[in-house]
Amino acid sequence: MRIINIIAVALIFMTVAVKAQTDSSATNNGDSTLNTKIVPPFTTSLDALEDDSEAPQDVSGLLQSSKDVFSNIAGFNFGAARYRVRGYDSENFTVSMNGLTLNNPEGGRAIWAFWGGLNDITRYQESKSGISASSYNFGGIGGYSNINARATAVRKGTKISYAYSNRSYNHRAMVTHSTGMMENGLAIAISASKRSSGEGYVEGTYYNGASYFLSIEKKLNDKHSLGIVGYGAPTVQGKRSISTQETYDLTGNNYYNSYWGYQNGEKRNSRIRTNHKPRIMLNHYFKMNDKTTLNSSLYYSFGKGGNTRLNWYSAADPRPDYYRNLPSFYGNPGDEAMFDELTALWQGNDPTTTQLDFDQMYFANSKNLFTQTNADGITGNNVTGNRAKYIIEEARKDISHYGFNTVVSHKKSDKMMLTGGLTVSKYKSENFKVVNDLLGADFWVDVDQFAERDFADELVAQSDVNNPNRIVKEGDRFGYDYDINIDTYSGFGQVEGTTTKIDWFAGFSVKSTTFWRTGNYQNGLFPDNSLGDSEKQSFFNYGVKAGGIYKLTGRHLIRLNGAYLTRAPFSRTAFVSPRTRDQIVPDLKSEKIMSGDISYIVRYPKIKTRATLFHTTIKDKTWSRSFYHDDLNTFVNYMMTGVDQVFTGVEFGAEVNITSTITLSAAYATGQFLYDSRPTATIIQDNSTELLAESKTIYFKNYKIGGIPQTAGSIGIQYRSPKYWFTGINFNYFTDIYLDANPDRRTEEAVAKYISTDPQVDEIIDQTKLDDDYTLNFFVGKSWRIKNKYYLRLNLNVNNLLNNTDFKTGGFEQLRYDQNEIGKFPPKIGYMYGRTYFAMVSFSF
Amino acid sequence: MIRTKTLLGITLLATTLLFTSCEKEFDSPPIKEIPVGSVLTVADVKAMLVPGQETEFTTDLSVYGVVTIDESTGNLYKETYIQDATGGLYLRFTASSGVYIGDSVRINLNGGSILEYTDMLQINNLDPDNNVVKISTQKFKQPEVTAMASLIDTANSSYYQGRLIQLNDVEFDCAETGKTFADALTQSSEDRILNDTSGNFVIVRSSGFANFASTTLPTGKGNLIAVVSEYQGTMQLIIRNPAELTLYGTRFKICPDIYKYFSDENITSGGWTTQLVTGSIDWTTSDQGQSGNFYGVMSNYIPPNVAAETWLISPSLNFGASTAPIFDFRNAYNFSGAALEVLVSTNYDGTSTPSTATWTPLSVKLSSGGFGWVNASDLPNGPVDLTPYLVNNVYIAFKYTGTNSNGSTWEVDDIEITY
Repeated sequence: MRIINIIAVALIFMTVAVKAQTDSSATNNGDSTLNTKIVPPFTTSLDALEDDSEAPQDVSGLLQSSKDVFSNIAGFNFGAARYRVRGYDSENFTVSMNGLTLNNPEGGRAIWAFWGGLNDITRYQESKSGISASSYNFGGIGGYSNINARATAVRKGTKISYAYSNRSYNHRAMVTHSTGMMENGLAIAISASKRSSGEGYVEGTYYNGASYFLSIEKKLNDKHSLGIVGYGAPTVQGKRSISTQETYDLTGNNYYNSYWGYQNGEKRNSRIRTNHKPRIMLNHYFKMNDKTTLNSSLYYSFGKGGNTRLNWYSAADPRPDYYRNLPSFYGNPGDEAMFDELTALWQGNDPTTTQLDFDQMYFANSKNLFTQTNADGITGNNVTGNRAKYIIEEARKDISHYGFNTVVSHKKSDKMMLTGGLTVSKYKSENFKVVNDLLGADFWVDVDQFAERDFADELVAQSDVNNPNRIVKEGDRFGYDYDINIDTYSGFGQVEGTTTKIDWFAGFSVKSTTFWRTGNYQNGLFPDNSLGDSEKQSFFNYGVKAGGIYKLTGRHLIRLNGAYLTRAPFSRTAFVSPRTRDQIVPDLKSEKIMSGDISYIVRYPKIKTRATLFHTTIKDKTWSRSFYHDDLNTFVNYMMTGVDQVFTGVEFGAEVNITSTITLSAAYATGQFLYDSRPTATIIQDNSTELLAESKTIYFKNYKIGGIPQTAGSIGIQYRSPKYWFTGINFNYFTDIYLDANPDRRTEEAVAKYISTDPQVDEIIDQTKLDDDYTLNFFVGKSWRIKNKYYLRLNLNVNNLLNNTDFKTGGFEQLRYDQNEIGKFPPKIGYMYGRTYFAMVSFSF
Repeated sequence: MIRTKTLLGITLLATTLLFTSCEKEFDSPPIKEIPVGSVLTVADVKAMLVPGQETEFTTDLSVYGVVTIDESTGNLYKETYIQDATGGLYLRFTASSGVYIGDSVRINLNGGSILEYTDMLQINNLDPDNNVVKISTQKFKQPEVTAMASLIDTANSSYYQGRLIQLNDVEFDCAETGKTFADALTQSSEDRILNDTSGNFVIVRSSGFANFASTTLPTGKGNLIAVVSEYQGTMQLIIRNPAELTLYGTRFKICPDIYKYFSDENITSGGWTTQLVTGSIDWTTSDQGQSGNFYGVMSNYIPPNVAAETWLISPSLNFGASTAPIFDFRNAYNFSGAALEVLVSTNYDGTSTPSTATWTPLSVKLSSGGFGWVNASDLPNGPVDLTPYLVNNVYIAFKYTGTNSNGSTWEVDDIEITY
């Protein structure tokens, strides 16, 4: 019955398409969604990857091109629930293009948005999950993915596609053309796309992105080829907030977004992310002989990334979901009138209450006459004008990154392959703020308003004491300005062997990392350690890995992998407060990663399964954040060292072809992703370097790593018609989702006021578990071959078919908390989108 | 050729797709105006107070004035004072006021309210954006030089409330020596006593959030600029910036090295100790009959009278480098009983029972009863002579004695020792 319904849907869909003759001969061009895989080449997780936030990303979607039965299903169905393969952060997953690592040196993560919209190119990737041999680099314990951007790797021909969706964008148009190798020895591939939206799924959000890609390859002779690759993806995105349950309940909207407000009757988002970080690569492919190849590359990447937000001076916090602007702030006896009034305004979705009020900010800025005396550090220079109470500022991270990479592969025999490589990378990021919009005011004065209030000495409040009382206008840098420099030199070697019974590999890596901060402002709070180069932090790291597959028979395999490596701390967490000073987190050291897994793999034409048991420990991680500490009554820099994590679990995937047209699939993964130590915390006052606490023990052992489902399962059925259409449905279930825990609540001091029987103790230290939930995903597609030359394809993918809008996919406890009233700063929670669809028509020839 | 054409065509198509994603430019919204309505003076506004109640303004009423104190030091929070020719006005806001000293402003009172709170007239609930228009800046109001006697006279309170004033020839009380403006650690406000040469005093109150809260008070005599507030019938001063306190001149009252005024209501603060030789009644502090002025007191009447011998002993005094130490205190008593003994010792250890040391009586003027206060140095005794004790580690003690049948109530205050 269901099949008939599905067919009906598919038929309706077809009526909008051109009436085309269906060809009965199968296509087999390496690209078709029909012949290689049942599932179409787009996923919810890829949608999540459009987001270039620096938060951990789900990488399971990258595994779509892997042949692995578990990764396939997980990649298509678990992403929307923020599932992470084996619980790993994405810094454990190496992404490369033509062998060049794309992971950002500051935080270790690969930001997919930098090449978003180039799906026609990024599909040519080789991915493996877990520890494995890699002919490009040492890889991470989570796996690796290498995008082949050689012009000759892109399928010859032209492809034009258009997609319509209600996710982060509405429209996507994409065109790709590849010449293949031409008679003159040239191959050219180009691709361009445009993604845009009116308003995204969440109110006030929008997306505008373009992307371009050009790859030229020239075959010089039988031994040498040269290539040049350039790409970029300028994007502009209006972001969504993550908020407290109170705001969702009051507005009756689990997708409530506090970031936007009305300006002149138009919706304006205060948090705009812009990004454009193009990359150019020069490749040299050298086939020394039949056995040895040497591929070398030079690369340069540059560009800007910015995030805007509101800032305000001598004015009330304009954010509608600031805790003092919510009814719950008026929960005390005597405040009932205010509570009722605010509740009514919120429940009525009154936009001047629930959203930002840009008109009011313009109004306030239009009448804030102010005289800045001794402006720009010039005595007697008095500037009078409307000083901004509210501005939109943009925090920028502009990068300049270049390097060199070479990999040699030598086939020692039919049974043994040797690979080795060297990489040099020089990275620099410029970090600063610019005034994005004065919102009608005349200027902003570059002083730290908190320091201004705390210290009587006016010089202390200066962002740059060499340029005091600076008047800044739109486009001017202000606030902070520093560079992060990271130099790395690395090498790896690998040997792979194969026998009739055993395939095996072993590899090692060495890496030297040096990073430092260069301050461009002399901060008034820290005049002695803010300007110029910091002390250089150097780390030497190494790694070893090995693995093998024992073939019991050709159809039953046992796979065993292990790795041990050390990793330099990331510069992102190494500085106490890089915006103001060059102070380094005390006791900074390399992380130690140990990982192993064992799998049993079955491969029959009709049944494919994999079952894996894995265990990983990551020791000596560094964690640092800045937040307002209510108990200490000040803004603090909070650091933990000796943070250990453990990841233990199983993965199981199975695909069964019941008939030649019907396939059943199942995937299940469960694990214990835990903190495994009692880290040591150091707390430093943000504006004085005063040590507020030292060697503070965080009772964090066995707390769950939050924000991800620790258990996920999926079962699905797919139907593939000999008439070139296919459809399928998956039911996915997620459980063991926890809120990320605030370390400071797991300390002796946090519960010092209470005795063990007080209910507050549990409130403070217990970790919140979110509800189990499920999704249903559906897809359908059809392809036509026209006149033996043209291919027309239609795909429709519906996620969360039942429109389940109550699925809390994660969240975190706020770092700010009140010991006496833990509910004063409740956790922030995110919900999964309700029903979303992605429909695509593509035409290729 | 066909291939080249296709490539060209595709490139063209690609370029059309590739228009740069640029951010939308927003229109500036039309800016609303704050209406003027009827214009009032500060005096007119003050006259609108209905005693005992809070009255909300529901029409457009504008008052013009110059800001005399602002929030930039943190001494004020969400509040400010303005002044015109008719007086000063205290304004309270729903958020940081965003105005600065010298701003010439128009305040539209609509939506605010007027009330008297702890005797201070205030305009409450003003919105810094919707109720304030800045007309110009740097229009500084000069403080009015005022006599303290006139300032603290509550008959003048409506004149002075909210006004920017200057006091000349004033100094902080000796009891405030070494203290800070407020308590920065607990961020609590503190009162400090300021004296003039005529024996008048007024409170200077500062916020623990002020960025000068941890600054030590200046110790000399000089001038001070402040805004006047009132709290439950007592005038208070709020300073704008410690830089406006030029208290660097020679004091008119020399502060003693050791003093005990009991104003902290603590009998043992400052290193003083008590010894209970007989009975269990200890020295205590009280301000009975003289509100706010605390003193040390000892009485053996529970009732009934019980036998008591209780000592109040000074910290160790180092007269070794001194030539003429001065010691004085005030005392008073009532009811029949043994006289208070004032003793001195050079061999006491500071902790043991007093009988372990040798104590010599000092000749001082004692009260003649009826709780009549006298100074120890009053005639005929004159200044207490400590010249025989020019050594270190000297102790002075007040020894109270009472019996089961009788006993006096002895009060001591303003103990001052200068060496």
